Amino acid sequence: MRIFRHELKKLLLCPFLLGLLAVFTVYDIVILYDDLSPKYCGYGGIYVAIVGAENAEEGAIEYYQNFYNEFSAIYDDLDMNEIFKQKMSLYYSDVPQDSAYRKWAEKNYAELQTRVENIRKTGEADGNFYPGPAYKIHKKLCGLLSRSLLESMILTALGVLYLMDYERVNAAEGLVYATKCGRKVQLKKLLAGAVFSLISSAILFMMPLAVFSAIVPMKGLWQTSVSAFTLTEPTTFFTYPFITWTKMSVFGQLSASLGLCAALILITAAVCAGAYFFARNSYFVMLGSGVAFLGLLLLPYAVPAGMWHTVSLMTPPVLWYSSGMRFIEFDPARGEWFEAATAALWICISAAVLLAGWRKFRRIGI
Amino acid sequence: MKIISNEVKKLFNPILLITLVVFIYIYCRGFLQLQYWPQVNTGNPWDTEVHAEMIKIFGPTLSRDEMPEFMEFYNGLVTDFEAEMQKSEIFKNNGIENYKQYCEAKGELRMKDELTDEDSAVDAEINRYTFELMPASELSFKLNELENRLLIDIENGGTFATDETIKNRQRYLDDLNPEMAEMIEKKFRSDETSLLTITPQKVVEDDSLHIVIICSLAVFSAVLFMLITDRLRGIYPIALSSKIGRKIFRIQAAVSGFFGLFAGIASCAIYGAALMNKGAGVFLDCPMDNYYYDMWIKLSYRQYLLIMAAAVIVFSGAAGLLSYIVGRFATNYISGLAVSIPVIVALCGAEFLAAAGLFTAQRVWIHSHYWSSAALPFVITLPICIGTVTAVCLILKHDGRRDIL
Repeated sequence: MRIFRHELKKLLLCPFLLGLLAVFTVYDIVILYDDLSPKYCGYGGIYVAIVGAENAEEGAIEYYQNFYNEFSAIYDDLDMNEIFKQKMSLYYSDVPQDSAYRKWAEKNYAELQTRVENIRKTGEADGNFYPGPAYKIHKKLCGLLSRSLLESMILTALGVLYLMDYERVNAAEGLVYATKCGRKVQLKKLLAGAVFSLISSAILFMMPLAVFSAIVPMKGLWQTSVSAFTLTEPTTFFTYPFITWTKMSVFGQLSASLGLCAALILITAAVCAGAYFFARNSYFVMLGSGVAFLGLLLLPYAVPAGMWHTVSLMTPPVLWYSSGMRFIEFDPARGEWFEAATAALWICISAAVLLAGWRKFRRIGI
Repeated sequence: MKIISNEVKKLFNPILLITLVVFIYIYCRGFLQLQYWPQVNTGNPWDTEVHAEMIKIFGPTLSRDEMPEFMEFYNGLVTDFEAEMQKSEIFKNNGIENYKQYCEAKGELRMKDELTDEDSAVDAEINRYTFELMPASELSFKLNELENRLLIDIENGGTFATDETIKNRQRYLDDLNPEMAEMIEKKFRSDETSLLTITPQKVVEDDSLHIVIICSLAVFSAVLFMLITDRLRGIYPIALSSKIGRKIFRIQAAVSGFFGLFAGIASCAIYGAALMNKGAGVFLDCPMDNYYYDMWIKLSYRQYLLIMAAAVIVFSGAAGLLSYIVGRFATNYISGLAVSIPVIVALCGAEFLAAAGLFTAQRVWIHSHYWSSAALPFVITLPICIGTVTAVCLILKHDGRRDIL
């Protein structure tokens, strides 16, 4: 425990990591502040109109009412099977009509159609929220998470590798790794790195979220369903509400996303530590991780449509990139359990890399 | 000379080199816009080709006096398209026999809410002629480009404007500041119009940032590794103990700077060759002040390319010196990388501000006046250059005097 505390202290007092954390936090807040520049009636003005408070301005009420009337019927004609056909012809036109892959995707969209009918029946579609097309609150919230996640992953990799390479850099390898107990220090370092990454990530996520909450009044709106028509945000080709695979509120989606981010951060820590055991050079592991991240991000573009395309999408970089569409219908190549399956797959991969690396490290001659 | 060659050798660690080559390949495949030539930022794959054909006939610009010849060129394409139309039974059965009728049918179908079976057949045939059937599709896109770019623009007063047609643009001009309005009206009334299309400019504008990112990452990776490895091997105290040893610091600084410059020059040369290979060479003499961009400073495409290359080389050189500064202060690999991240982001951000929309009036928030547009690249670039060179000189001066204890 004392070694763990000592290693954690090393990270918590490390000036360049703290400096980078400060730079990232300030950068996030500045970007978010710019992103949240007031629109139309301002956030406070439209909020009182949304919650129906008595002091709402006439203009804001009229604006919200107009938006409400215009979009409230969006679920009436929503047909997920039609959307499926359009998306397939746009993005996956080369998939044969009778292939198993297409049938699998078709079945997913049939389930989504059932879900749409449920949303209509249960009144999940009717929640009040900031008008999606003008305010894009969901997109901004997801953008915030996306930036924070990338920065957290960078800090995690740097933190873990800094600790694990510490003995080598300070020429104390021969001394520390001469004993079995000394070699186990590396595992404690990994643990300390993971704890540091969770602490730094908490700061990176919470600070912008606090600024977001201070600028955008959300009291009473967190419980609105993500599938409510008020959240609808037009994309390049389509304008329809977010269809979540299961019932999910804005707060629920945020919490689930934060959980997934925590898993991705821990996966990053484990993969970096595992890779370090093989390479035993923090610099090359860091550069290699960057290249691998970029490669995995672009891999789906090189893989033709089919099952392998779906497999190529199941990577942490893709999960990071599509952070605005987590747990939501988005791409015919992704099913209901896409996020959970990706996280589970990478937990297994990172555990395997870590174990194999540790096995190699334990046996290596000093 | 031996010291220099040794320091240069240190930059080319084989594992590092392989990592960088893989990175550059993946990055280029993922982000470089040149690979999508000629379809960059437009939905029209043939606009660049039709402009290149026109340049071969009319030269880099088209003048008012050349309009009859231009109409001949345009009518030639119309005749070719009509010859293709004759092959369609559907057009024949629906009385669509010439290009004018084809355009009218296209417009009418667009306005209809519901299509009859006959309408649907014509619509499908028009789509086939536009997007699928070669060479009809090519001709259709080319005609569309010439109509939008010139014929409609002439009617709207955007090209070869007269006192009559300029009225169509009056509301637009009234919304601009007087200096900008005067510049743009002068362009509208000009007797010549540039035949440069958007792709050659946009592709270079977008890619210049990517090249700076690639160069900065490559230079930082190599230089940091060289300097931090030296520090970790305990070479600094030994180097500081002799006069020749202290020279190594100067050599390392020079090698870092030149490596940055070399990376910039090499990437510009490779990119330039690839750009010319794609067919951008035909646009070199065209004025940059074209249909898409209003330029404060009159440049040809050749001059624009040279300025962009100079910007990339300067920023790449600055990356070399900045990496030296970071590398000298970093005590271990991770600290070097941690400091490099914000430095590289800031450097690339500066390049984006300096070079994107160079001398154009399109990015109104910073380029709304002649002087702000002309001065901006220098206001950003000069402090970076002067600052990095001064910082390196101060570090080297300190190295010359400091006590090894």
